[in-house]
Amino acid sequence: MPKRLRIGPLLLEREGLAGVRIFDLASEVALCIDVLSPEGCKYKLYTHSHPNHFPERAPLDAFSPAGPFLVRPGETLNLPPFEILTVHAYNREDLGRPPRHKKGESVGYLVSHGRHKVYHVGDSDLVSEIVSLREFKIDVALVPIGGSSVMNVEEAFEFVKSLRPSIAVPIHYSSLRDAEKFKLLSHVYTQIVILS
Amino acid sequence: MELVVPPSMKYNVVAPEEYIKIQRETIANLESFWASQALQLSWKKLWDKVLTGNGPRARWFEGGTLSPYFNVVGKHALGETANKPALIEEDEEGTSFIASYRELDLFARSIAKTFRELGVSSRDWVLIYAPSSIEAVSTALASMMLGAPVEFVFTGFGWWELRRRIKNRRPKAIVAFDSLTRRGKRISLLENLKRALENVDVKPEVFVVEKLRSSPKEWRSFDELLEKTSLTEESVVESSHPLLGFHIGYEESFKPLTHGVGGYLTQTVSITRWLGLRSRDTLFCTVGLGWITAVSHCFIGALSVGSTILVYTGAPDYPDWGRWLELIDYYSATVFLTTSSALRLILKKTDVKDRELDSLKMIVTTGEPMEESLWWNAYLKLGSGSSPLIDSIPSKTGRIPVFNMYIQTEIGSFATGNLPSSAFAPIAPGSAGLPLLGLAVDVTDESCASLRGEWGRLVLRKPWPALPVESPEEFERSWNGDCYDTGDRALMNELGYIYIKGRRDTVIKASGYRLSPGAIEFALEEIGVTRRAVVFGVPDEERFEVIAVATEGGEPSSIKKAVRELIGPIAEPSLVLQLEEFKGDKKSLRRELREKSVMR
Repeated sequence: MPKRLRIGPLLLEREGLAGVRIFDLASEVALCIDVLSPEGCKYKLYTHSHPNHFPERAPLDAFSPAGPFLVRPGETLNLPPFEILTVHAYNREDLGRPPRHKKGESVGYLVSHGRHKVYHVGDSDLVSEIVSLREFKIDVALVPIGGSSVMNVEEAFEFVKSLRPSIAVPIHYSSLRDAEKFKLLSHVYTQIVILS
Repeated sequence: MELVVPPSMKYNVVAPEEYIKIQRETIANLESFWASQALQLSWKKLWDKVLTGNGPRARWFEGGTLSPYFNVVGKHALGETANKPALIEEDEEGTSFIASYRELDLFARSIAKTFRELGVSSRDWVLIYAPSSIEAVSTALASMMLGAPVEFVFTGFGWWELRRRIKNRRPKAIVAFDSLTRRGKRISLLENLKRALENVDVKPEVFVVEKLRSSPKEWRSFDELLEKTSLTEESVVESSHPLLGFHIGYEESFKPLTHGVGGYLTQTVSITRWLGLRSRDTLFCTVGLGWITAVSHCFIGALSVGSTILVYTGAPDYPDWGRWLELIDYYSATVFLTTSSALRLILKKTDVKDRELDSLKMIVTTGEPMEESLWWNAYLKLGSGSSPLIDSIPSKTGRIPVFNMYIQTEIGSFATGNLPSSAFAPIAPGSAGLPLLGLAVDVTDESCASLRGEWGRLVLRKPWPALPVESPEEFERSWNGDCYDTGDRALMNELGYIYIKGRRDTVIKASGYRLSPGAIEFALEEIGVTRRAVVFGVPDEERFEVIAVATEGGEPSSIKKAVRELIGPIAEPSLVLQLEEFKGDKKSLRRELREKSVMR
């Protein structure tokens, strides 16, 4: 059974590797992040331009670090009824592996809607810019857990311990076992919801 | 008698004799014991006297004042628990609706603001005709913020019973769902609401949660309640101020009863703590709001300790009987609170091997007796998990405890059972455990003299903190001095374990629901579907009892339909008998027909 998550007026659905549709039930406006087929999405945001995150043909009204509408970490976007803070997402360079996502080339999005906050981490390791978001009291965090070019399960667990979102949704994984392991580690600190 | 210590409790156990000694000390020092527990609540002004009066008129913590809202949810709204999910509601389609403590607080403050503008005061009742949901809980919390007493009306009740509660409580506001989902279909509740409000001399403001987007013209939308800015202050009330209302099934009718603030919260919150519920727990509660278990231990108790409550708003068998177990795994629930009837069905109809259930730390059942075979089945199948834990063998030995607790609306909380986070005594399968701390539970003869090893009356020998502050005459008549007769038949063995057999009167217990035969009879006769009806319980292997109706005249299908519409689906008779002539009073006839059905 496909699972969906509702928080306040926002309905969240996962789509693909790291995609999410955030649908505002009040205004019936959808904001989509890393959704490859963004039909029905008024706002299309992409965290970076890699396959599985970015469509072969970018919509003309898409926001991403690669355009058409360029976004950079630290910028804000006003897309009514949403407000978006663009956040750093990158791989560390001191781990002995070449960074697949270099600092500045990829982003995450902190989406605010009224008092609700949904944070799509993007493709990132657990870096200090992310941990500094703790003060925002995040309701839902969409956390990559698959390892390699993003956080692995253990880092994602550390993310949960550091940011303490109300709910964490694992994304960017190929094996359900990773999601289950993430849940097992993290459920004491937050509510894990695996959206399929 | 076999005593069981589950592997998870192996290093945290006391002998039954030791537990009884501790329990007796709490009874011998009743006032100081409960006063020490009451100090765990936050009081605006401490009480002058712990206990005044006696029998049904005993009152606790007189002179004390407190905010019920702050003690249940307000204290979490600004602390570390604020961002934690307070309530998870999953529907049949698989959508999780999650509200944190901060959000629940904001909802409650908005609703309270509108209620106050409507003139809802601490003297007015608020009625909630809704399933366990974020809207229902927020409304109840909003009422608490104003000091206004609340009654949840179980949505399994029909318009006749809803009307009874409206007439008795005369609410200033009602919050109701427009529909429920059952097996993919929407079932409207609006007709029940409409009929219940016809020909009553009270005009409450009605707010409808529009799941069907029904937009009924005569009532306001629940969404309006969330549009207001927040109310900032929380009412502080006297300890005996009314907090929560119930309608209890007695032999002749459902009668209203009210629990007060200070004593009720002291007892409920203490027992929740002794059960071991903490802020890290997720409690999956399958009992519907409107029944004492859900109100005291799912809603009030769980929120007061900062736990997450998980509820499911659909049919338990949709898409199959594995749904509840799937939810336990999916949300990593740590406590499963349900009824024995539900456990029987799950174990019969689903393959437990498909599930891990390792997040569970205990299973709690209540509402009806639990036979020994069912306990073992639940312990070895649901309670064994899939990972080893202190000498347990997955899927072979038990792993976590299964507790069968005795509860009664009049008592306000669990009264017997086991307490894993206080003094844990081994479990006696098939029993309802031992008397809980501070509750003078005993089994006696008619003169209130203790019996051991014999069936007798289940009583409480001393007043308890959650003693109702308003009660019907049936409750008052159940007292003999300070000895309160619960109406249940029970046996206490030499070690103090209690075995419950069911009611001694003609009140019916079906699937954990306590139903009044007189109320069903009156409704059927009043609308003229039969000249005369006698309603009685028939023992049933799955539901403990099912409802049977003997009638003088009337078609069986019409009788069933009428009960379903008037009283509700939970009271639909399984059996309708046609009798030519009734002889004797109804009480005797109910007993006689029940005995005949047992012999058959």
